[in-house]
Amino acid sequence: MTYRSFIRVPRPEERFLARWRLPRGPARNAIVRERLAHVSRQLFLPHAWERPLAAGLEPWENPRIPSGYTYFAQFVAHDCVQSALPTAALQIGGGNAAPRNLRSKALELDTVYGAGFDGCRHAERHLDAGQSRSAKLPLGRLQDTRAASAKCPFRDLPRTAGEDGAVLTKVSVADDRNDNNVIVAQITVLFSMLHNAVVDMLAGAMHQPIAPHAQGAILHTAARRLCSRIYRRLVTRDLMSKLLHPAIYARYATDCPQYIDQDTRDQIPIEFPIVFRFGHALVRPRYRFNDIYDRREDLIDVLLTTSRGRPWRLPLDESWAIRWSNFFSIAGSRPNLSRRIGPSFSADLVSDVVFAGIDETNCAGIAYRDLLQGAGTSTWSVAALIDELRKCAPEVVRASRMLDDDAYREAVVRQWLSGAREATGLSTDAIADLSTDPPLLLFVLLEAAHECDGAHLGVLGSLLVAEIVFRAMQGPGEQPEVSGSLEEPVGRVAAASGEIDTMADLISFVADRHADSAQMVPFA
Amino acid sequence: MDKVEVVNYKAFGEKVKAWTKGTAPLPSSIEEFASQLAAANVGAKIPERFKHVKFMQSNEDTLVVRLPCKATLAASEERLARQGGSYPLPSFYEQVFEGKPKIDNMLDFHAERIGDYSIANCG
Repeated sequence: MTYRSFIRVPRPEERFLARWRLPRGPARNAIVRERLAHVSRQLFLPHAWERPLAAGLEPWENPRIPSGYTYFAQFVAHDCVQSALPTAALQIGGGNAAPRNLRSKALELDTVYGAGFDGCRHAERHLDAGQSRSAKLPLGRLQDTRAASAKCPFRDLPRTAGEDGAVLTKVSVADDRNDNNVIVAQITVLFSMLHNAVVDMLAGAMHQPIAPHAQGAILHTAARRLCSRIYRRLVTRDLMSKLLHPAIYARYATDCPQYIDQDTRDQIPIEFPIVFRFGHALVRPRYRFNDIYDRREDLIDVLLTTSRGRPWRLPLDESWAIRWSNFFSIAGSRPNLSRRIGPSFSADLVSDVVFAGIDETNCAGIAYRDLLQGAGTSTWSVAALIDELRKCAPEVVRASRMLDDDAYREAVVRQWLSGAREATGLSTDAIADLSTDPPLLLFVLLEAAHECDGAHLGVLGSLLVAEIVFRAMQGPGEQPEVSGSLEEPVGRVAAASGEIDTMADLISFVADRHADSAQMVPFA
Repeated sequence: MDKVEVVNYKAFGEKVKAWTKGTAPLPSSIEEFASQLAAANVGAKIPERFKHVKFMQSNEDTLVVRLPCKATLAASEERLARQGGSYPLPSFYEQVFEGKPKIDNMLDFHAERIGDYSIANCG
């Protein structure tokens, strides 16, 4: 399925880069890449926040968003978007054919379940089709380096050795992006544990036996449907309420939201994956995982401790076992907080080991890739998108001076770009072009910092996320209804899980149903 | 006590070489130092407590023994004695050697590292 455009396809003069004064021919490509590389360097400088958002916090910390939501958002991104074309292959100005999104339907937990019970054997357990465990998702044990004989819980992704058999270079999950870092890996484990708990509850609630040959598939399908419902509630009621501008959240978190984009197809607009990369600004420089050692883990190690990065360290050891109250607010805990949303990323995201250069600029770091994605697709320019919103939702534009006042918006962007010219080397012409026609992601980051103190997304960023996420929630979803002997057990499990509205609720629900989860490190 | 940290050691090493050879101007302030490192994509984390930067260059007949900041040394020793887990090494070592370093005595290893970078003169 290809991506579409938000509201309608922008005309050539309405697209990002149309207002830049660029030569024709190959030089155009080089100039755009060079300018974006320069801007990306500025994104790794600290942002000059005026004051902390609360007493006792670092100036960059955001008490509104505990850091677990950073990685829950990454997990949600993986569930909405799986681009077929790598960023490195994008051509400036969207010269490629319309890029494809391999996700046919967003927010169905495809990132966990893949093609489902029959279609994704690497992700799911089919050892014994006659028992309920065949309906479960596989997990891997943690290891305890302090004691070889220690009893370790199943709280890692399932990993297997590569061809040499020495280290765990492979991860057996439906979407290997969920092994991009230690934290998103354990968010994935959390949802797998939810699924397995629901399978057990369903099996326990059944009064009429299911034919053994069908038991695994039926339980699996019913559990997936229940877990998808829980997950969707978590996205709308918890995650979105943290990330979005309160006025925009209120507009969409209703029974019948008024969508601006009237296109009802399941295709995701290309603007969504560009804007959702704002999540990279939330990533902290270091994290406290648990209380075994009196230390915080550096982000670079969080990024590298994966089957691809450091297979010799796997399975995850006691250093990495997440105590979830360090990542979400649970019973008055003081979790690691995310960074405020603004034009500034943690320095480790510039690592040339994790994010090596991908083109002739040889510019390392995730920020360059983020900016390049916007330039490599035929996306709206910020100014043209705002003009379009003036026609169909003028009240939204009026809610933000950066949207409503073109000269003001350009001045804010210009002021930021001019503030680090020694580091970026941006020319006067480049700053002029970037100010009138900034990358959408850069605008969304500046909007959040300038108008919302970095506490949440601004109006435009929130709108673009809300339109896609809340619309994807509409309808029954793709998971089949259950009937027959499972109807009553499903109803009972749905009632038991109906109170799960927040990640804290989910963690409590999962912990209560996995007796061994607290071995080595408390679960919550 | 926060220390200066570097993400891309190769980029930083290239910058140091350029300063040594005179092909890049030596920064005259901590702000210029930060700007040059940002321009080179070094990914330097420079705590706000640093207000100045000083460069010392060895020559053939003078041995320069660089001593660490006394307060930083004390803080590191206290932290290493208290915390467990992995010894905090720059990440590139583990990637190059493809294995987690096994360090039995953190304070001994700390002393060895200080000895190394104080005398090696990075040439």
